[in-house]
Amino acid sequence: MTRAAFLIGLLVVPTLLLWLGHRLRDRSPAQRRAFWGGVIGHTIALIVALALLHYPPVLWTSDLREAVALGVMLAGGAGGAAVGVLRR
Amino acid sequence: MEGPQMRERRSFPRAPGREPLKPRTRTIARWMFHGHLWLGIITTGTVLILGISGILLNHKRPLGLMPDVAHEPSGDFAAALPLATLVDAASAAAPRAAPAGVDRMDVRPRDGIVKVRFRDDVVTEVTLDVNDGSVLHVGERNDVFLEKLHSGEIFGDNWILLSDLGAVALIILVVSGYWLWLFPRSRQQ
Repeated sequence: MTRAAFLIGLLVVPTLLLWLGHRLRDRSPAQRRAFWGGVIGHTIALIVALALLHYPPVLWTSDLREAVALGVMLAGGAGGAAVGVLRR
Repeated sequence: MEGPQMRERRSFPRAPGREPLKPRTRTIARWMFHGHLWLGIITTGTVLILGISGILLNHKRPLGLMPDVAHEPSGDFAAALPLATLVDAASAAAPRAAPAGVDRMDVRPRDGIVKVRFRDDVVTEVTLDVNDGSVLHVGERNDVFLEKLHSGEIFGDNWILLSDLGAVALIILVVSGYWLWLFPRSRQQ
C-alpha cells in the first residue's frame, strides 16, 4: 500500500501537476491555486522524502519512517493542492 | 493582425526573416521540447534519488558508511581457519545479528581478513583475522542499503525498473537537451 502511494507520489502527482500547469492562464482561479499549492506541497514533500529515504542509511527499521518516506509525496501534493483550492 | 489570441505557440526562437520550418522538423522540435519538459518533471524524484544515493556510494569510505579495517596478515593463508569456525566467531561477536543468518563472506587473503556479513536489518559486518579468528571490527554496512536504494531493490525485486526508468529518462533528457540547445544555433548559421 505504502509502495503504491510512493509510486503515485513520485510519478503520478508530478504528471497531474504538469497537466494542470499546461496553459495555466486559461485555467480557473481555483485550478491555479490548486496548481501552486500542489507544486509547493510536492516540492517540500520531495525534500522530506529524500531526507527520510537516505538517512539513516539502514533498512526500514521503523514502520513510521517507511510510511512517511513513502507516502509523504502523495500527501504533500494532494494536501498542497487541497489547501490551494480552499485558500481564498 | 496578430493579437494575443492569434499568437503562434513556438517551442524555440525563430530568427526574423527566416524560412518557415518544414513540417517534419517542426514535429521533431515539438517532441523534443515537450519530451524534455514532461520527462524532466515526471522523473525529477527518481533522478534525485539516483543522484543522491550515487554520490553517497561514491564517497562511502570517507563518509564512514562501510567499515574499512587496515590489517596485515598474521600468518600464511594456507593455515587459515575453516569457514564454519570463522562464522562461529563472527556470530559470537554480533549476537544480535547472528540469528538473521550469514549473507556472505568476503575473504581478503592479501590483508589476512574475512568479512562476515549478516542478513539483519542494519547489515552488520564482522571483520576477523583469518588465521586466529580474532575480531578486528564490528559495524554496519550502510552502503548495502544505499546500493539497494540506488537500484530500487529496496522496495522489491521488480523495482529495479524504476531505476531503469530514471536512467533511460536521463539519456533522453541529455539527447533532447542537446538538441534544444544546438538546433536553434544551427539554424542561425
